[in-house]
Amino acid sequence: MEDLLSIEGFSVKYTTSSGTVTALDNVSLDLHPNELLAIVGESGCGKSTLGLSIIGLLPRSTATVSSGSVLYKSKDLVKLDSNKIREYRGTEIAMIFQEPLTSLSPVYKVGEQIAEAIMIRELRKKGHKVHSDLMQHTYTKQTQKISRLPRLSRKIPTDLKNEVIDYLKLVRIADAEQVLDRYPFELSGGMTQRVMIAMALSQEPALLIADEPTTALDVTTQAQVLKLMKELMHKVETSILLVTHDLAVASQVADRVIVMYAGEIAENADVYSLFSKPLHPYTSGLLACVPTGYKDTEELTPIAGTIPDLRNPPTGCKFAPRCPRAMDVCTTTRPHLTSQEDNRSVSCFLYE
Amino acid sequence: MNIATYILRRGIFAIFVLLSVMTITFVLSHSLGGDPIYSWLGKAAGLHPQLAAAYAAKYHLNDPVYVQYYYYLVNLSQGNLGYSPSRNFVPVAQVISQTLPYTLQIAFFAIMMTLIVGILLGVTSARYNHTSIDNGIRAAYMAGYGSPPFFVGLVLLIIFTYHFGLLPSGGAFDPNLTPPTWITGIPMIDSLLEGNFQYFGSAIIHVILPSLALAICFFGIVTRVLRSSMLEVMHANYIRTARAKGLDEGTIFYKHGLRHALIPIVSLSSLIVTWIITGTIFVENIFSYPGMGRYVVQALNGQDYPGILGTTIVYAIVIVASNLAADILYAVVDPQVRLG
Amino acid sequence: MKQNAQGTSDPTPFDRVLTMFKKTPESIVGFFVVVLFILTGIIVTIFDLLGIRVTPYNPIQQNVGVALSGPSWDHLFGCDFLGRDVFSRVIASVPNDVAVSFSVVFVAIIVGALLGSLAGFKGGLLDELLMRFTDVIFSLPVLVIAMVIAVALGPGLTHMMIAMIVIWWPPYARMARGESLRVAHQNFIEAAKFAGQRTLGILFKHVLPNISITMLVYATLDVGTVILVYAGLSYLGLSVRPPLPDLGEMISNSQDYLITAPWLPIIPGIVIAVIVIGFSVLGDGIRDALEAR
Repeated sequence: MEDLLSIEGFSVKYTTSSGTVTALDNVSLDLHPNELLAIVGESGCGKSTLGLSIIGLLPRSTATVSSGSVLYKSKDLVKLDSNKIREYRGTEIAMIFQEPLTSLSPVYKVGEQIAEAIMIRELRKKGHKVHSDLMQHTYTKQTQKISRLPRLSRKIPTDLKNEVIDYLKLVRIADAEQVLDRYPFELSGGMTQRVMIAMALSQEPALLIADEPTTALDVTTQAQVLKLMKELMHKVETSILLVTHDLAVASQVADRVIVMYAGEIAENADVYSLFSKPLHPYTSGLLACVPTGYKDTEELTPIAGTIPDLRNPPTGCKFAPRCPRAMDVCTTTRPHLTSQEDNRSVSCFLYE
Repeated sequence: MNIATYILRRGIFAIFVLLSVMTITFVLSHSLGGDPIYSWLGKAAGLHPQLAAAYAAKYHLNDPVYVQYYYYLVNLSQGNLGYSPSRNFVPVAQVISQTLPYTLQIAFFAIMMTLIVGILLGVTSARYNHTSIDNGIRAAYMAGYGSPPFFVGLVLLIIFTYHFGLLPSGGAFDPNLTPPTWITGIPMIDSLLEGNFQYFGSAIIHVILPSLALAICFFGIVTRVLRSSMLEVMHANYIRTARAKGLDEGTIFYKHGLRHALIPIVSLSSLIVTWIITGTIFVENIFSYPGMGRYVVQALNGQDYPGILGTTIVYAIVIVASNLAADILYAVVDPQVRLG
Repeated sequence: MKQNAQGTSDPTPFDRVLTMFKKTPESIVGFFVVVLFILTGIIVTIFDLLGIRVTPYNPIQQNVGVALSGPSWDHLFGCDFLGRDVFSRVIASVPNDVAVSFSVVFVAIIVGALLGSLAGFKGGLLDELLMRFTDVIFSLPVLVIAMVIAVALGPGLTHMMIAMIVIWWPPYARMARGESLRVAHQNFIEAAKFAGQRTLGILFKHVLPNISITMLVYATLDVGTVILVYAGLSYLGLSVRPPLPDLGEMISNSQDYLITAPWLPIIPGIVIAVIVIGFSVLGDGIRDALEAR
């Protein structure tokens, strides 16, 4: 089974007014078809950058890919220019984001926005460009337009409308007919996130990148959305790359988990192995941070120290300053991802 | 709150504002030094004892103040604004009905030009921001905004009329042409309805410069706001989603970005309308355009108090009505206002 | 630079001004224009009070030169239709603009800040009243209302100032109200109230300093707007009457000479524009410099 996504030696740098930040440092990973891969790490570890960089959504003025390749279905996305990469968005790869309420346009109705996504999919399938010189384009049976002009929210034509309703029902929105006439601000957070999922899936992507999709939601809604995503994944045969800072989220739905620290991959294992037997000290530290109910008489054990300054990373292992098991070699040499048994890998001198 | 309630609320507010204006003019009519009769007949009241007597009766000028106020409002609502000394005691309302259409003509074209130019340049500024195009546009609108409308009008006259001889120096139309018959009251519309295209063409030529002067002064307000609005919008999350969906940059910029960025412009248009209508007073004077503004200036020079007070009220009515229209448009354009 | 609590340096106003000049070089020009404007106004007024003439010619004296003559070394801006030196008249009219613009904005700030911060702080009926009242004033055309008030009071500089002050304060009241609303519910205000500080004291010490920056930016641009509106009202003949000079008036009196002596109406117009643009550029510069923080 060929990998859907294969990232090799991928590095991304940001230029800021105070120096160059290495956001991703030599990252390598594989994503298999029909797999839910969770990328876990604290803020600033580069996980969001990783997600955004796959479909080229990094801010062009400040971010540069300094090395590596991102192979999607054997094609290197890094080498594509912005026009070519756009062709992957809206058909092959879809992305949903953290704050659903601000991630949808406030002036167009929800149904219309999903319909727009479907139109893009159909136009791409036919090989048409989504835009044209004439500011409009036709789609299948009736004259549907993705007009460039700003306009007031309009009614969706019937065949599109049915498909929109189907997708809304797919994400378990019961009164789909009413919802599609609503504006995003009229819906709750959980509902809006489902709409975003529906919109992303309506483009029939092979890969769905979800950047902290549940962070802005309350815990119960979070659980619902996650469960939904897992079910849908199998139903529509989409792989999911889930970026999150929350280990609990990863443990609920992931097949495989990658732990990132300071722009590098610390550990890569299937979900059971990672949680039952963490290898990297950072992973153990993360797991120990989470308070478990029945042990709450004990003190919380945070990980000492703070993440390193990515403008000036330390030589050697970036986690070494905070690592309770650091050795001399850790401060002088960078560890690499080495394969371990059970199809896992870890980047730590303890295991080399 | 749905749109009907919203309109009702804004409507009531508008009426309240008009009442305030009328109260102000009423109070002022009594402080014009001496007999309130001066505010209706001007200082020459003594020369027309019959008119003066008729007035005193009509406005109950010998009764206590609150009675006067009541009758004042009654008279106003009937369209009675007094008689205009600077126009041979023709009723003020009549003068206004003859001059207001011309003012509206200028206002209409000025507002259209301001919005179109303002939006085009605002979008261009945003697209090419921090380049010399952006800076050039900024210099242009700062120069425009800083110049009083009458000054801009004079400069335009020098350039287009006296230097190039392209456009006329005054009036609303070529006096050799027959004006259209009264259908809607607005000459340019009437001439179109009648098929009198010669008149229409002449009217257009005569309205260009005055409207252009106003547009030059005020397009900057639109451009500046739209530019910053667009720059802000393009960083919004939903733009990122639109990109992730696979839309091309052009569609994103116009359909998603501009659509949202235009909303503040709608609420800004109340301000634009107010300034432009105020500005017509000056450009009409420069271009000898027979609108209400020219009448105001004549009234001021001739101490024609009825004229001054009457036109003030009418200006207020026009401005309040347009602000109300802008409010309604705002609710249409921004769903959060009417549903949120 | 002064040291602040963290031991790093707090930029003084002087430093901020320098940063502003570096960030937006055009604000130097604006600053220069504004300073020139204010200084001219002050110098002319002082010398006027002392009875010394500071302009090349007496502004109201007729026939100091050939009527309707163009700019020359003798008469930098030429002479008007009564043979008066236009340059002297322009200089002599600057104090009017300085006086009107600064006093209107100054009084508007004070009245607005007091009313607004009080209303926002106390809330309730006072707040509602203020909001409705300012709503109404916002809906009115400033120039037209000022015009009628000026007509009622009679022509003249002081009357004009009064007319404008009456309608100019609402934006400041709104700003102050917004700011004091924001501040009023913060904890340290509750603490101050518990400690027994009276409302006025709280206002002065805590609320007003926070507002002043927003107001400063707005006020700088506002001075320019006042000058524009004043020029319009003076054009309509509602301010200083001839033979005393005033920029707007000079334009309306000479506009018939547009073909024969274009410099007569144009030059005062340019002067007005330069002054207003100067304030706009300076205000923009201040805003840009403050935003960077």
